Amino acid sequence: MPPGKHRAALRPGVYAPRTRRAWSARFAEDVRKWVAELARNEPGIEGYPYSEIGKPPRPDRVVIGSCPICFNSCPVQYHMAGDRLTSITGVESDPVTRGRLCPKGQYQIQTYYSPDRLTQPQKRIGARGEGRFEPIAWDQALDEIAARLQQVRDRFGARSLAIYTGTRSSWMNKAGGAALFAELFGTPNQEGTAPLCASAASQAFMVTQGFAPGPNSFTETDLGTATFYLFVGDNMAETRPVYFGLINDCRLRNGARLVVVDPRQSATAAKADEWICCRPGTDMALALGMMHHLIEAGLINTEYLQAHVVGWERLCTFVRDSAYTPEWAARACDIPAATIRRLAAEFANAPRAVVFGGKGLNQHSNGFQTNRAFHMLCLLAGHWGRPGAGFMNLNRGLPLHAHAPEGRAPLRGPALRKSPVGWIDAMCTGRPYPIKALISTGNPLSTWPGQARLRQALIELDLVVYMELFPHATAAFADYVLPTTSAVEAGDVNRSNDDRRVGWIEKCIEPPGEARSDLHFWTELGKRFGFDDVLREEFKHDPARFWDTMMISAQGMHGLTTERMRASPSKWIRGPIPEPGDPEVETLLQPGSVFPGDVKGRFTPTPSGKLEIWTEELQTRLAPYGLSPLPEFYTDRGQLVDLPYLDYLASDEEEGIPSPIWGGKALTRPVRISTQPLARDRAYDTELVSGRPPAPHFHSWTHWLWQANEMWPEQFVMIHPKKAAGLGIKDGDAVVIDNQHGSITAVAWIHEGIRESSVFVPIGWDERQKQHPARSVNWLVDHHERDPISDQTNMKSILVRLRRA
Amino acid sequence: MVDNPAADKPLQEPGPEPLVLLIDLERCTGCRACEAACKLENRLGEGMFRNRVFWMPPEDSNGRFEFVVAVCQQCVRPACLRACGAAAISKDPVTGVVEIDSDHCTGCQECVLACPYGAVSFDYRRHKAEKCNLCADRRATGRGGPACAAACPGRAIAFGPRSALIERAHDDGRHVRNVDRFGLGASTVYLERTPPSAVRATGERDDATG
Repeated sequence: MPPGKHRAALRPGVYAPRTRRAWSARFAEDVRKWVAELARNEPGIEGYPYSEIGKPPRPDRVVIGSCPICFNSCPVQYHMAGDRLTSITGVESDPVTRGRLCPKGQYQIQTYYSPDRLTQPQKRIGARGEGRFEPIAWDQALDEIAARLQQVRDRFGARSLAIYTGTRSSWMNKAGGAALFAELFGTPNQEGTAPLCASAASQAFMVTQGFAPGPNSFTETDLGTATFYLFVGDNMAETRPVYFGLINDCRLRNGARLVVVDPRQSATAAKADEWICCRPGTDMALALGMMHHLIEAGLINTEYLQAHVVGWERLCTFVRDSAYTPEWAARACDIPAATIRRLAAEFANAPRAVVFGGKGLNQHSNGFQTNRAFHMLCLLAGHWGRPGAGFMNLNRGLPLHAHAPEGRAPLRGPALRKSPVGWIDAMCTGRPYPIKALISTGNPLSTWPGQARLRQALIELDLVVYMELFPHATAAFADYVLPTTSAVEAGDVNRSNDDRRVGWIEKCIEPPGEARSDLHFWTELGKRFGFDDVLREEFKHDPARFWDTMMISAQGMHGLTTERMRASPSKWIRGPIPEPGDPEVETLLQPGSVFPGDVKGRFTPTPSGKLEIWTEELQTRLAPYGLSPLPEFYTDRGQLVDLPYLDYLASDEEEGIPSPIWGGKALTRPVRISTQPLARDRAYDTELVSGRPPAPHFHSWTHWLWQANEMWPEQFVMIHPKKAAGLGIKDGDAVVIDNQHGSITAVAWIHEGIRESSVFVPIGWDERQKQHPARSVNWLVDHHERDPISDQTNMKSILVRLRRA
Repeated sequence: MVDNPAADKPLQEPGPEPLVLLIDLERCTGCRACEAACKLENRLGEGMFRNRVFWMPPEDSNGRFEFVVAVCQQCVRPACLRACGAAAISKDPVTGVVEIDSDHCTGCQECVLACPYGAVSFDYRRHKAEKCNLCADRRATGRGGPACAAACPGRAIAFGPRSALIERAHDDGRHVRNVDRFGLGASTVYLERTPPSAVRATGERDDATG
């Protein structure tokens, strides 16, 4: 029997029973049928580490740390028996999570005892993409990598090295070891996942309030006190399940109202009082239509605006003069005008309202302006900087970053692009300058848009180094595959999260085989270039020292020491904390407050000291892009109706202009908003929305854990029954989805809870995964269609067509 | 031949305060953390379950998911107990917990097929039936209630004496769903969803409906 046959019974569409009778006799029949089917299949069943242990040894101690996987950053207890990790549970005394943990936080233990972990450095012996390797010693590998990097630097310059840090990396890698190495080596082309994920959110916050994280906290006394929750493009229930548990619990206890705007009736929408289905990529129009109603109906909070906001009068005039009425917005975002008015009034009249934005706002060519439009909506209503009132959108968070001492690093010039996918064309063509080497501590061959072109690019490179936990698709294209550690195998901090919490994770267990931490790698590689005065030998085995000496140097961050983290009951503290003795702040930007640690004593650290919508300076900063601080509506090019879109005035093969929002440290392409109808191929009649899969998965990592595969095995495509019927597609069918950029296959999940003209495909699969390999949805995504300001790619409004495979 | 005294004896009535799980369908987000917690605590491999979460698209709801945790109902008259020819399944007279004694289980899987709630699965490694005993080991060693209830991110699973749980739910204005469709005396408590929260009275304005 082929492996995985018994798993075929657990396709999403089947796992979620097709019967329409809720838990009836029919339900029991179905369950009995599946159980019988499972029983017919013989083992080959994965169970590590549970099967290996049998009855687990009683733990002799508990180490409190944080889960290292996702952006919920839940504190956990690592249960240890001797040198063995036996179990992972939540911290019940924790005020935010109350001991709750999502599935992956618990079965992360399968990472540490997985037979599929990379444990030995390997060197390629076949062609790129073939995946044939031979073992190599660490020192030999590092010597060879250093020699080849030296050659690349001599021939093409330091900037032809690109460094990408993937989703499994904490601050300590992307903003620590990798960032320092890039600075010292002299390449500006070092980036993490932010431009694929949330740089639109962070840069919008930077403009509005002068710092990136949302000002509120996930506590019962802050976000828990809202009377109205509006989720736009944020599927919190599946992406940050524990935070959503807190919010939903407070909602039910307080009788608050929850409205979700999303093309898909997600798990979050399934819990909402109201689901509003919208056209993908048009949330900016919704915000503008709501603002128009607020202004016309006199629902703006003039008192708050006068005290704390600059540029709001100009915004009001702009929205009115542009006639961004609810009727106009209705045509753009496909939501009835009456609903937009009602939503606007409910929002403005709520005593305390919170807007949760997410990737549904960020991952579009208008991500930056869409985020700002919702900021403006909140500011007009005075819902900002109060407990239970504000705008939240997860992003890179606090400024925790290592920098080389002044004068130590060579001048670097601007990065080719802010987004790593902006390197792809330069890798292929050498224009505007060549990228010849890539060090990746992540899996671009699932994560990056432009998959077909990226494969060509990787073949063109002189050197590809891959450092990961598991052999993802990118490994096959690497010259050197290096085994790395996870947080509990080395000591690390948690991920950036919505809640400004920074948590320390102690080293609990030894890494498997010869796996070494990212920091170890950067230190060793740096030593070969004479960087060991900065990337010091001692950091290799003492990440806490690295954190305390290198990572908390930014203003407001000095108090985020490992000592303070270790002293707190759940091992996390909430920043900013300017000096070690300073208190944590639950809600920032409360009227009359001074921003923690701001030397100028400002309310908020913007140039004006107020929350900024429009200023002369902002006008000057945005003009070079061809945009204005006032949010003129445009959307992605992949629309089925004629709406304004961007014309790019330069290609990725041209230099472009320095990007002012990034302080000129990256180049970008100027744009022009166009209203000329686009010539589109009518064959591509479906709006593809990509996004995070349900809670059991997190990007590439979890696809190597058996329990995540058991819960959500195959890549699926969610299709509305009417669309499916028209195409003769039935639940469980294999479906081919294609467009000009590529083609993928997914299993059909027929479901009413999605916009009729849209389909949804989750991210995170790749074609070399062990259990359910599939080409990533990013094969269909054009890597050129990016927001000129945040450089985020449009991953959620893409025209495709479908057919039964 | 294996004796089956249970087959001859009248079924034990549960004690005054049976221990049960309460599952709040309004709070469950279908994330499957309870499955992960259960397998971690009880060391279950692939294909083995003591609980499972189903995503069910009910009729007439515009495609809104309903999530249901399928788990042992700790029935008053358990079908599994009746089906077991090896007298390996018992019901605790005080707590009402239905438990499989692995030492006596012969691996015939009759109980797996008998349970209409799909709550009994099979351990292929040891050739034994597997079902929820409300984390007997956690309770016995003072580690609190069942692992699923402790881990649930949605705060949807509660554990305790059945009457107290129902009383508290009624105090909160919640309704209990009747899932006892097979006449077995299913004891796990499921709370119905709540009606959608309307616009708050304090927030209503004349222009609110546009």
